[in-house]
Amino acid sequence: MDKKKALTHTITGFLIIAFLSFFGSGVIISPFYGEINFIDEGQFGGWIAHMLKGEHLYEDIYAAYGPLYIYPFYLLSKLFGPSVFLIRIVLIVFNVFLAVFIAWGIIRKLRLAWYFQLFTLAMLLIVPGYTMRQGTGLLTILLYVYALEKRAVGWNFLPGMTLAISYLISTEIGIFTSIIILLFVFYQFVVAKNIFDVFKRSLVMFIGLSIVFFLFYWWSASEGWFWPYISTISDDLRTYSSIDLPNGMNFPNPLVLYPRSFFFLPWVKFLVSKEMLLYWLFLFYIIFFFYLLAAIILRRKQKNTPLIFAISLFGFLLSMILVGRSGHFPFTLSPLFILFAYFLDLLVKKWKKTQSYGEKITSTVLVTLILLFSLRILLIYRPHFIKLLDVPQAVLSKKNNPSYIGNVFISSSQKKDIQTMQNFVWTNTKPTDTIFFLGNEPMMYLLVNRDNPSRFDLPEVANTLEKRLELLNALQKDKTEYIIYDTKSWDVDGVSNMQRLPEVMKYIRSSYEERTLGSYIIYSRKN
Amino acid sequence: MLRKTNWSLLIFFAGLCAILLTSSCINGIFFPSDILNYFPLFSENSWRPPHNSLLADPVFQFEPWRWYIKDQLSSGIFPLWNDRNGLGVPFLANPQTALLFPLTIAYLLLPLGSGLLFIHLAKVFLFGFFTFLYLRVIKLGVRSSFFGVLATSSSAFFMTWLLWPHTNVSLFLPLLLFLVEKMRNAHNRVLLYVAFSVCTAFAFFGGHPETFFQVGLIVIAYTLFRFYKSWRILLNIVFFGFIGLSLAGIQLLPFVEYLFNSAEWVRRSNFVIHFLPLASVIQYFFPFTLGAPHLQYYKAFPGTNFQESAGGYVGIIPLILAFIAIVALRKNKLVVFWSVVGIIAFGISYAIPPISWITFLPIFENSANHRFVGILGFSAVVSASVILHSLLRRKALYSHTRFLLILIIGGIASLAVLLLPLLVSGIGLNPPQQFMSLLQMHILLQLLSTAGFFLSLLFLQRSRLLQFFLLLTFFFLQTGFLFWNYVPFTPRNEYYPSPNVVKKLQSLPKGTYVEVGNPSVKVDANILYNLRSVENYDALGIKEYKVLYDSSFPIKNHWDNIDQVSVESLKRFGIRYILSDYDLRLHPFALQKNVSMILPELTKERGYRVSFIPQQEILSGIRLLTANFNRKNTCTFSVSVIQKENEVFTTKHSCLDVRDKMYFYIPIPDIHLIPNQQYQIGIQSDADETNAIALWGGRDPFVQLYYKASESSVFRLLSRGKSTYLFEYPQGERITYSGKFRILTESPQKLVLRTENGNPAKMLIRIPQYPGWDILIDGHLTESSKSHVFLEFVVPPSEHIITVVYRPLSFTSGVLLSIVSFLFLVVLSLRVLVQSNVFSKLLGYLNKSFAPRKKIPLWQHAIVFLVGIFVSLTTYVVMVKILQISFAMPETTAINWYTVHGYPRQQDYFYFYTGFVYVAVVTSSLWILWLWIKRKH
Repeated sequence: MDKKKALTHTITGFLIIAFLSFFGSGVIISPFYGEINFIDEGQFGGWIAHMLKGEHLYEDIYAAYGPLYIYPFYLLSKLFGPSVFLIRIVLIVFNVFLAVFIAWGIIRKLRLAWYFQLFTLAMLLIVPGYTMRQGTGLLTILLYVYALEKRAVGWNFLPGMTLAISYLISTEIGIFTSIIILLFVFYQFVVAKNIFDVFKRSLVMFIGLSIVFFLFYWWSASEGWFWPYISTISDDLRTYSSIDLPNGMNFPNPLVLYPRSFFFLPWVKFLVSKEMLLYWLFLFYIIFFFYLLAAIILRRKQKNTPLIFAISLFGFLLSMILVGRSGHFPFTLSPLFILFAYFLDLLVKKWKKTQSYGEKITSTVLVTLILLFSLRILLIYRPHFIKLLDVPQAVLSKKNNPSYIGNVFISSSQKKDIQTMQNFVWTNTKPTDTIFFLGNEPMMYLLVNRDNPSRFDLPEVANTLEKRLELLNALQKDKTEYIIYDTKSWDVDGVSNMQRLPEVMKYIRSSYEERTLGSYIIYSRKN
Repeated sequence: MLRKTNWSLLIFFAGLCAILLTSSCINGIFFPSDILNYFPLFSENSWRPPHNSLLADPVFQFEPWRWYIKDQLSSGIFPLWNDRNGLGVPFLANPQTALLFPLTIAYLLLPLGSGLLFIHLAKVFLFGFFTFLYLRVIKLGVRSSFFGVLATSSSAFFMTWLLWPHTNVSLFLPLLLFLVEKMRNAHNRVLLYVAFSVCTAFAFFGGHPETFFQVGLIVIAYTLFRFYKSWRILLNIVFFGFIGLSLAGIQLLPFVEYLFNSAEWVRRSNFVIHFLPLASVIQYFFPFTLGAPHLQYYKAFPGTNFQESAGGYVGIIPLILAFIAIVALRKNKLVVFWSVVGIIAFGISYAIPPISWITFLPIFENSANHRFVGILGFSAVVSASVILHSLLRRKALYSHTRFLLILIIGGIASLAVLLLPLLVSGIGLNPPQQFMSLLQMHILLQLLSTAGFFLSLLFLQRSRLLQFFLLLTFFFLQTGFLFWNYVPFTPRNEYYPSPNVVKKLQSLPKGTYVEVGNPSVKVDANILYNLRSVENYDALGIKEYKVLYDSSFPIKNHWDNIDQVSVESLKRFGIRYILSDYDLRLHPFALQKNVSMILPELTKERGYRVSFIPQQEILSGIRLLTANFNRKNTCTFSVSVIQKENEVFTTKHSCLDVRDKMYFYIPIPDIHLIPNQQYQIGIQSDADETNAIALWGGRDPFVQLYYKASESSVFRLLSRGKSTYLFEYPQGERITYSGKFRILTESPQKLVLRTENGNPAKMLIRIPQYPGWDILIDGHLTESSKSHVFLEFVVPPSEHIITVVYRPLSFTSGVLLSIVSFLFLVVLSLRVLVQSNVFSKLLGYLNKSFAPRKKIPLWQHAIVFLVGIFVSLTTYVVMVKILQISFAMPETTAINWYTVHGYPRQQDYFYFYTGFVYVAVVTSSLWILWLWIKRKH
């Protein structure tokens, strides 16, 4: 690497970190500022609280994410003490920064114009949802494409390792990436002149994969949570692909949503609505596949076609989760932004090269379409830019925060709610007592430093009868003294946990007394 | 070569299309469901004997299994387990289900009648087609190959076993031989190896491991014969044979697991070898020597039946030709090979030492060796085709050949005429006069057609077309003509009809039933009626279950049906309903149990009397065992209770009411008998020798008396037909548990229960212990008690969700093995295609056809794309609106947005995938079309 390149990399990295540190990304605004998200940030808080009490992931905690996605939070909490601030820092440094850096590696490989590189980085940083979950998938693809280009078979070791890591961060991303890698391997087996070379490469990749899996097995089995992990992820895959999924809604139906009007404006609004953006997304994927088909038939194959094909397929597979979980739309967008940059680059080059007005107009229209789509996404998912102005003040101000929050500036009402609950719990229970939060607020376990008697920090995931009864049994067995429900907590998909857990509610109503404390309903066990 | 292949492919697809068309046009069902008439329950009011009494297995096994496949797949379940027989048995692991046999798809997609006809016609066609390919590749002419096609596809083996999975497997024999033969001269053998693997897998999927073993042996022998000098090719073929087996791993591994856990494996380990009686060799020349099951008269050779003993019949003509081939072409290696195969097959089938010593080898010792007769027939046909090819090519046959042929014909005719009456009388038969006339006609036809064939061969050499036509016609008279109606077409209303008792049983709460006495809803036909039987008829059976079953129900009758039940046994198996030919509330007492022979006919001159001293006070029923096969049944008969020559009670019945080898139960008004007095049961008839029925028995006829019980019965009568009683045993439950439980979901492979109990308690679920069944309590795996035949485990106190699920490791590993083998074969095939530049040529062709001569601007592409998107989206929306597809809400215990709003999630999947694929395909197709038009202009 020459000096200029190294300098560019360092400066870009520094800029990303600086941006993230001050302005935040993804699910949070900034590490220093913004209300605590009791679900998305909160689940990490809940899991840390469990693990710090010596409990094991999957065995004692129901977690939908892979262990490598959760352990950095736990390890750093052990080092620095748990807090919301630490969770945010880890989310930014480990989760978003590394992921953005991987995406940057891809767009560097595509050799795009600097402004399109910047466009992609900006979109990935600003639009929430791009994390190491997608990042490891993209990294595996990138490393595999690199390995294909290199002569030495040893290069295949790395994508093998990252593939295993992607499984251990997010199983579904691991599966999607595996499909792509297998397709490539299959293609190599078919077309390669020397089949043994492909075999060797695949073997090396398999060794890389196996080493990581073996290390993971050694670690998890020695702690006794390997099989609970396997059983949880298989249950997770099964429920999320069936009607049993805990959170998810139907895919919007345009035949129901379209405006019953002949006016222009309602139609424009309809076409750029949040629901219709899902259809735009798939339209873009059809365009990409169409482009690849045309490249094959018209023999316009380019150097980067394999990488573009892999990213398109990865993006498409990722987007398929929207059938059932349309709310995860921003989570699926990262590959699209990379592809956008690639096509913008192509279109602008074409615009510059051609003399034909027809060509120029078509290129302009397509570029505009991509930019408008991106802008619309920004408008939907980042409507509170103005709040960024509060960040400097938040960094400098004295917070007087309740315990376990750290250096985050939160609103006084949230502060008051947390303090109320902390005071109640610490007055009425001993540190060894358990407590159960019926709403979807796993962060409370960290904030009140009490353990959950069940595996379900997010009670909404216990939505099948089997899990409901498991939760019920845990509460009965533990004779939990207090069950707390925050009336402000978010009902996932509009279905409250009181509705989701009828057996648990029946038990609570028969065995507990109800009273209110601010916005909380406190259920105290009858003597 | 390409042209030749296309020609074959054209015949192949044209043939299949013609069969499809024929299957769709023909009314009626090509299926012997009329065999159900054999059972009293199905022919209570009007009796019509079944067309062919031997076609039982297709009705009781193969069709119910096919139906089960369709039923389960349409419910979204891949049928690994059959919960309707034997309280549960492996389904996929039973290869006879032919679940993965390619032709089964036709049954799934086509209407019932068309599907059944298509499968069986296609089998005949494919066997003929593959034979043709093989005979052509060994360089025989079209005419002799056609002769071979006719000989094999209309041979007795193929015709009589047409409805069995044996023929699913054997139809691949000529194809595998063709591939081996092709490998001899092929430049690049890789695709042939791949095809060999695929055929091996398909042959296994055919569903008859014994036939697969026999076919495999012949193919191995043939490969050795062809490649004994080329070890590399030989090893490759063996390797790809194993790959074929791996490809079939999805079924092979579960089968092997089932085999080693089966009762049949234990039974056959006791050295059960089947051979054919040597006397039945006559059937190679005259298959109807003792009649045939589809004719008006039929007797079997002792220890076998028509299908087995006549299985080697291919016509007299191929036998003569094969004999000539051995003599005249003794230096032809192929003829020598097939002759040796034929001789070995003959020796194995008829236990001719020393050849039959082979059957002491492993696998042979557990195999149905007598079915090697099919191989014998095939080998004769190949040799016959070879010599026929040679004879047809000659401009004039030598005079000594003519002389030899005439000598042979004359010799066989004389032998037949001399030996046949001797044989018929030697076996001690006394067939009706009509049959004797039919037999004479049969002999005449065989001899005349043989003579006609050879005369045409000898004297019509100048007019080849006429000669060919006559050769095939004469030959057809010996094969296809004899078996054309072996399998009947039956009317739709005879396809598994539902008698009232069955309807009643179907309407009752779910429960397991057992048959007592006569077969009623014979297993596994119960599958089709959605009934759950305690019995199983799948040729393997789970070992431990079978042992428990046999020890629990020791009293069996000549049908191997349970004849008496005890309350303990019913409880043990959780049996709730009993179908019986007699009143179970009575006490049975057999006066004479022996049923080894048919007694002389019951006529006016010959009645029977059986004496008895009453065991109990009140007589309420009498049971006989009747015989009416090969008879007219136009008489009446009476049964009386006689005391000192006074008839205490008499009842009269039409002979049409009895069934062959079935119990005939006569309920009688209670007769008070005097203790220690001698009584007699008298049986009289008004029949003469021509229309009489008979009785089964030993020295005396079988007679069983039924006394009224003094205590009240545990059985509750639910329904009663003319010949069948339906009882309920209310304590018969599938699940035994002292706590409260509720079944949440139930499917053959999964049972989910919710339990509630204050104390730990044992739960017994009557599913046989078998590898693959897992018990999960609240999602945690629990061991079943090893001491019980059924699943038994302890449920902890409090509320729990118990999930009992069948997820066999053998299946999962089999799937993996099949996938890996499949990918290996695909990669290998594609590599060959890539190396032979097929794809480059294809892409070049596409490029040449679609790439415009001058560059098309981007905006034009964009507009075409937009039009494509618009057209495809519009048409898709219109289709969706027109079709109005409805989606049922899946069964679930989950509470989420979908269940709260009653929204079936699969709807989104359906519209998403179909919509995306439709839009992408239509848009791309329109664009390609546009390119093509653009290039044309």
